[in-house]
This record gives sequence, structure tokens and C-alpha cells, in this order.
Amino acid sequence: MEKILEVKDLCKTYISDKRQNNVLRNVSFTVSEGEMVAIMGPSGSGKSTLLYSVSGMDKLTSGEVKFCGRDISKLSDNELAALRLDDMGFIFQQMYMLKNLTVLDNIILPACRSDKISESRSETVKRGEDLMRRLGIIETANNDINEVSGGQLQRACICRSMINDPKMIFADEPTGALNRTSSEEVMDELAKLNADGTTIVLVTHDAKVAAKCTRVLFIEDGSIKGEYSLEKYTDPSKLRERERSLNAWLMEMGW
Amino acid sequence: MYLRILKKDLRRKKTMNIIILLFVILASMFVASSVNNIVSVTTALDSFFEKAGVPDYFVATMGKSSGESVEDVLDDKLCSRIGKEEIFYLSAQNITLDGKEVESIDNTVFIQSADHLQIKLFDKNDKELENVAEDEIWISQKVLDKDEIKVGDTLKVELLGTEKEFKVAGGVKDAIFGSGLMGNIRIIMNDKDFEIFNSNDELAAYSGSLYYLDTDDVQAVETKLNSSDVSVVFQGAKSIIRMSYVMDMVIAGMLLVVSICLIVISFVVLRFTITFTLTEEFREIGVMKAIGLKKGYIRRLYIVKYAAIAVIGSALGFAASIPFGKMLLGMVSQSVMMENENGILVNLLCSLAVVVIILFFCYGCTRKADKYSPLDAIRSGETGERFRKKSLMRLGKSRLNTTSFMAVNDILSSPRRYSIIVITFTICLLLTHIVDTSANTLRSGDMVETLGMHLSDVYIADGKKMMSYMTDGGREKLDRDMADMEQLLADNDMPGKVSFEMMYRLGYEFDGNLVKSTTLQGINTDINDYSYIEGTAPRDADEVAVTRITADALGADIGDKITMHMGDERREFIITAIYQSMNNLGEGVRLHPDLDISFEYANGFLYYVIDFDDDPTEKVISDRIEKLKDIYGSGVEVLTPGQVAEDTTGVASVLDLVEKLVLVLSAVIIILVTVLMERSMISKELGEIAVLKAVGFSDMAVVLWHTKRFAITSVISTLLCMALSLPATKLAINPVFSMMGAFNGVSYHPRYLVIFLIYPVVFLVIMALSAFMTALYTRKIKASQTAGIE
Repeated sequence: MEKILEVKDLCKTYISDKRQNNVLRNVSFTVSEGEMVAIMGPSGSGKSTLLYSVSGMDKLTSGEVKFCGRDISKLSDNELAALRLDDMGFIFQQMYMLKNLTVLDNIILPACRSDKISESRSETVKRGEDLMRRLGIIETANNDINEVSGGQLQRACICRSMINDPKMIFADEPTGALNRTSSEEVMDELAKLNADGTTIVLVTHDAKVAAKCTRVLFIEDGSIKGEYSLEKYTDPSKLRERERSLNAWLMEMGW
Repeated sequence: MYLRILKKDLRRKKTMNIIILLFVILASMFVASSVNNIVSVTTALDSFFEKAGVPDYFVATMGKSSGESVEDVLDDKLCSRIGKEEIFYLSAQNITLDGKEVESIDNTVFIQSADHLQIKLFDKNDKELENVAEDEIWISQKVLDKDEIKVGDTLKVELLGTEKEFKVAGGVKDAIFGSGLMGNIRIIMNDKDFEIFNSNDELAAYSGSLYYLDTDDVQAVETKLNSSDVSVVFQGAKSIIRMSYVMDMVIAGMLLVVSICLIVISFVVLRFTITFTLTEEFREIGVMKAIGLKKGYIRRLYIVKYAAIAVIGSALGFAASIPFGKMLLGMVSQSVMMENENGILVNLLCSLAVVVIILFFCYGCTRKADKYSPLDAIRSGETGERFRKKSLMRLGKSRLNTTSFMAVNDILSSPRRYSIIVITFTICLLLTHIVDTSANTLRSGDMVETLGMHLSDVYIADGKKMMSYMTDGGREKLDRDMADMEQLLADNDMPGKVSFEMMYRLGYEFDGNLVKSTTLQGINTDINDYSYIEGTAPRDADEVAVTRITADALGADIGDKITMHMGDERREFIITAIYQSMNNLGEGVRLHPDLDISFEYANGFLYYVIDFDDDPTEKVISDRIEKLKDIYGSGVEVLTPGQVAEDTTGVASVLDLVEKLVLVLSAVIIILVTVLMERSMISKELGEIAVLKAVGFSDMAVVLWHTKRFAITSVISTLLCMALSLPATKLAINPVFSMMGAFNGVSYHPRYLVIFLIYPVVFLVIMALSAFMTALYTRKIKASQTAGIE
């Protein structure tokens, strides 16, 4: 499989109150096409910082991050914005959307902005509706965002992350603000997307969520302490077993 | 406890707190200075008149000893005071600066002694003029305002060979002759210097008196004077003197409009900012409720915070309001004392009122938060209304690009938020419309029709020559001169008809009412060329048109027969029409050109009026005016109708100054409101901006989104202004023209290109640039902040 993301000796340092805080220390890993990678670790270990650094949302202090062969540390802000718009999708813990737009408009907004998409507005709308239908939220298309539930909103965020057919989706605690049922639905959707070929990197605290991934990176004190590989998740009946084995590994890692 | 929370809050929400503080400073400054100005302007004339000792009635007479005097006609029973000042009537030609006539002295000049003043005159610092040194003169401030003569210049006063040079020591604020409409100019000199003229018997024909009469029965005084043989040049009650300040009051009125607008803008913006920032606190209020803090405690917490900001802001605003208010008042008039003795107290009270109002707003806003449960407050979002429909447009159906769509959709979805910007922009733009249209109208050619003349191509004033017609044989001389002028025009390839406007001051009687009125007669004119608002133009020599004010004073109307008093002679005329005139504040009678009347009754004149025969274009007329100026030389004024209007009303240039002030003020307000509003919005939309960046919007796309919102609101405001421009101008200015005698209003002349295109574009650019520069701050918001946003 072709490597989409190559991270080498990534360091991220914050300086606050004249104190240097090394959040990430020489982190190196790769993500291949079609993988679904979970980044786990205790609070404050640098999971989210790692996600934002490798996705070009945050500047690196040192090291190299190659996305589809392009060194993102050498890209300008505008080039990074274009990269995020066309080739990356993002899902956040808080289901942030524009308050003055409907759910559907929020979903198609990146497509309308993208130069990569050369289709009419109505075709974009149709694609947006197809995605919503696929994720089971088509009935909320013309609703305002304050008229839908958290689970529906997070699925709408997944639709938005998918609308420009990205090479990779980054998700930061995508189920963190959802109840158990919604959480499972959202993870099932992400697993389905991965099964369809979308590469996903997500940050999570939840072993149940990570159990649906193909690989888990355990990060502590800004460094990757271990890596755990799993078969592609296709059979829900084996989820419990995957979760058990993952938990055992996590305990070994000291979690 | 409160102080600790307050200190922390002030530090944590530094930006928003600074924004509120700035708005409080602005509101306090605008409200305090505006209210003070309103008080000053509305009481200015009363206060000025009282300090100056303006009498109940005022008479100017001609001649020293011939005929009856005012003292002969009026007695102590009727008048509690009969003050008298000896004067000499001089014309503009009698005053020279460096050997040349002074253009800014264009009307009759009175010279008089400082020792016998019956009214108080004040210098530019509002100090009473008590003594004038030998070889020095003080001159009406309005002359100095025209900037041709300066303090320290040497003026030569010459009358029939008696002459003396004087150094100009300063300008005087003169309650009687200070207004722009009172064309006369006063020159005050030392008694010894005055005696040089007074002791020369050859000058007796130019002498006269100014009488200051205090009486309880103005009507009786007027009737006695009108039925006497006193050689009155002009006369009037205090109300007429007050009315003569109408043009100064136009400016003062403008200041009132500006002040009211500033107050409206202040409160609208302040209310918005407080509501806006307090709704941001809903989440915190919810959390505090959730942990069990009582409503009253939470409310007090916010009230303490806003009270602290309000007190600091209002104190700073109060300090700034004093110089700001003085600057505005300085624009109104250099001829009127505008001082408000209680100015500082008024400013202080207004600043305190701003504090109270802020607390009131704050109390109202926190009460809104009280209604919600802890959960509601936490989840309420920006308004506390959870299920309010927001999005009105559909991106899928729109042809706009994303940033334009988002900008338009935001405005439509949150109209209240953007209405503040629309109101501010509209008020600022409307102010400039009102001032610009008023100034342009006052200098438009059409104005001559409300100044007692008909609209023609060129107007010529030659004071010396025109003065010479005011004798019994003057008519023949005038006819010859007009024929010569027509010949001169023909010889210079500009054939035209020359006419003349003669002025008389004659008595009229109807139904026992006796009124003296300015009377106009066009010589060699077509009476149908003048405008009438009721009836038909006089067709015969025994028919007249009168103004509504004169008709009302006589108690007469169209169809009535009035009697003219001309010396001992009595003639009867039928009123056939009513016209409106701003000459002499609306009083007037127009005689038929065919009426044979001796020019010895004339007391003034307007212009030679030229109507070219060949219907030339404006460009040709302009070229001909230049040619005529060359032919007649410097002593003769050759004017367009617009220049005549401008010269007569005399405030267009001051209005230009006011317009500049309004433009600068509006620009500053627009910049401040835009910057502060945009900064507030960025603060509120931090999450949305971060998300947009996370999904791939570039920095510039976000900046454009924000800038377009302001640009669109300014376009909406411009459209609103286009609709409101004329009605607002009429609403603000018609009452002023009505006071001047133009009851039916005037035909307004907006400069459409300037007010509908240039000013809106300038303001739009200012607003868009301010929004753009402020929106550049969004570049500091990183996509990664999405995770950290609550």
C-alpha cells in the first residue's frame, strides 16, 4: 500500500511564561492508504497536538511531515489551506458548524469553495444529499444546526469531511461528545468509510472506538511508546474480542 | 470577592472589555457634548440678547435735523427707554484697504463712537467692548470671518474728503447687526475720531441715528412711527432681529441634527455591545447557576463589572466631551455668543446618565438570562432562544461565491446585529446629504426667485451708480443706463434685455391695519416672469402681489383693495397674487412695472438683471460673465443667479465648513463603529473562523467574508439614504426656510453625483477598509484552535 502520511522526528514545543514545554518529541510513524489509525494516550500526552501538526493545522517546531509526498512544513498558509480543503477531511469532538447555514449547506460549503470540484452547484447539492442519505441524516438536510441532535450533527460533520473526496480524514475524539448509541453509530460510519477505502487517523480515549481501527499508536509524554496492529474490522461479532486484546495491550503500555 | 472576579474577568476578556470601554467613552463624549450643545444652541440667542441688552424695538433713521425725530413721536409713557446712537451711513466705496475697496464690505456701513453705545458689544472672547483706542476701530465680526480683513490691517475711512486711517483692533459680536441677513456693518471708533466726521457739517446728509426702544406695546410704537414723518431707514421688533439670525440658526440646526444623531448612534451601539457581550456570558451564567449561585449574586457580579467599565469610560468620555463640544459650537457662529454657563455641569450630568443607562441595559440583559435554567443558559448559544430559525438562504441555490453567500446570509439571518451598522451608516450618510443639499440649494440659481427676483442669466451690482437713481429724476437716468447697457451687450455680441429691481419702503393700510413693507418693482421686466404661489400676476399698474406675511399683517387677501402711503399721497391697489420671499424675512409687496412711482421713495435696489436674447448655453453665459467682468472692472460685481443666492443668504460657505466637519465626524464614527463591531464579531465567531480554516478556507477568504458583510450593509444603507435623502432634508430644513418666509418650501437641488455616488463610495471604502484591516486579525486565529474552543 502507498504511504500517504510520513512523519519523521516530529517535535513540537510551546513556550509559555518563559518555560519550554516539549509536547511532541521526535515522533515518527507512517500511515498507508486504506488504513484506519487510532492515536491513544492519557490526557496531555500530545495526541491532539500530533493530529493537528500532521494535518498542517499547526506549525511544526522541527521534523518532517510528508502528506502524499509533499513536505507540509514547507507549504505556505494558503497552500496548507488548499491542502486541507481538497485532500483532507476533519471531524472534531465539538460538532462545529456555521450557525447561520443549514446542515446541508454546512456540508457542501467546502465543495463550493474548492477549485478541485468542477461541478455545478446543483450537482454539489446532490452529492451532499447522497452523503447525508448514506449516513442516514437526509431528513435533517434543510434544518438549522440547532435543530438536530449531537449524533446527527457529528454525522453531518463526517459528511462535510467527505464532501471533497479527501485522501485522508483526521478525527479528533469524534465520539467524545456523544452518548453511547450515537457514538457507536458514528464509529460504524467511519469504519464503513474506511472499508470503502478512505484512510482515517483519529484520536480517541475509548478502546471500543480504537478497536475498530487497523492500527493503534500509543503516545505518552509526547513520544510514541508502542504500536498495536489489528485486522481490518469487518465482522461486528469480533469487536468484543478486538477490544479485549487491545485493552490487554494498553495495560501493558501502562494505561 | 467581586473585585477579585472583576480583576480576573478584565484580564481574561481583555479585548471585549476594551471594546466596551471604548464604546462607553464614545457614548459619554457624544452624549455629553451633544446635550450641552443643544442647551447652548437653543438658549444662545436669548442669552446673547439679554447680555447685549437688545431692545424691544429698533429704529434706524436718516438725517440729523430735518423732519420729525423719534423722540418727537414717542414719549416716556410709551417707551421706558429711548436710547440713541449718532451714526454716519457709509457705502462700501468709503472703506478702503491698501487703496482698494474691500469686497467683504458689501453693504451699508455705520460708523459710530464707542462712548455712546446703547447696546453691549463683545469681542471674540465674549468680553464687553468698553473702550476703543484712538486711531483704532472695531468692526463687525462677520466681516473678519470673510478673511479679507485681518486684525492689525489698516483701513481708510473716507467721506466727502474727510478721511482717517484706522488700525483694525478686532471684531465685535453685535446682537443687532451680527447676523448674516442683517447686511449692515458697524465700525466702532474712539469718540475723538468720530468727531472728525461729526463736526463736519458737509457730511450731515449722511448722518443718522440708531434708536433702541424698550416698550410694553410694540404694536403701538410701530403704529405711531408708521404714521409719522420720521425718516425711517429700517425698523423692527426684537422678534425681527431674532429672525435675522435664522441663517445662523440653520447652522445651529445642523449642529442639533448632528448632536441628536450622535446620541442615537451612541445608545444604539452601546445597547448592542452590552447585549452582545452579555449573551456571550450565558454559558458562564449557566455554570454559575448549575453550581448553585443565586440569581441576585450572579446579576450583581455582572453589574459590578459593567459599573466599573461604565464609570471609567464615562469619566474619560466626560473629559473628552469638553474640547469636542467646543469644537462643534465653534462651527456655528463667530457672531453669536454660544457659551453655556452650566456647560461642565451638563456634561457631567450626561456622563453620569450614561453610567446609569449602561447599568440599566446591563440589568435588563442579565434579567433575560435569569429566565433560563442552568441547562438552557449553557446551551442557549447567542440569544438564549434554542430553536430560532436562522438560515434564510440556501447555498445550493445561490449563484454567489462562498464568501459573498456567507456574508449576505449572515446579514439576513441576524438582521438585528447588522441593523446597528446600517443605522450608523445611514445616519452618517443622511447627515452629509442634508448639509450638502442645503448648501447647494442655498447657492442654486432657483433661490433668486425666493429672494424677490426672477431667474435670469446675469446679475450686475454697481452700488455707486445704483445709488444715484434714488432721486426724483432717477428713473430717466436708469432708463438711459439700461439702454446703454443693452447697447454695450449688443456691441459685444451678447444681445440681451436689461432690467432692474428697485426697492422702496412704503406703508400699506387695510381695514385699519397699517404696515410698512419692503416693496419691490421690476423696471423693464415682465411681471409674469416672477413666481407666485397663489392667484395671478398683477396685470395693471393698480394691481400688486404681496407675501403671505404682509397679507396676514394687513389682514388682507387676494381680491382685497389696499391703500399705499407714499408721503402724503395715497393710492389704492388690488391684491391679485401671493408670492413667497425670503427678503426681509418674508415681508414684501411687488408692484407692477408700469406703475409710475418716484424713485425718491426708493430705499434700496437689488441688481441690474440681464436676460440674453439668444438663449445661450451655460458655458456661453459663463464666458460672457468673464467678458463683462473685464468690461466693468473691479468696482462692479457680475454674478450668476447662484452667486446672487449665495451672496444674499451668506451661509452656503459656512455650511460647506459644517459639511466638512460632518464628513470628518461621520468618517471617524464609521471607522470606530466598524472596527469595534468587527472586533466584537471576531471575538464571538472565533469557533466558526477556526472551523472554516480547518476545513480549508484561506486567511484571505475569512477576511473577505467579514469585509463583505460590512460592504453589503453600507450598500443597504446607501439605498436607504437614497430613499430618505430628500424627505429627511425637507424635514430638517423646510422649517428654517419657512421661518425665512418660504412657507411652501424651496426647490431643493441635491448634488446627486456627490451624495448618491461620491460620498457613499468614500464611506463604503472607509468602512470596508476599516473592516478589512480589523478582519486581518483573523489571521491570528489558527485552525488548530478549533479543539480549544468551548
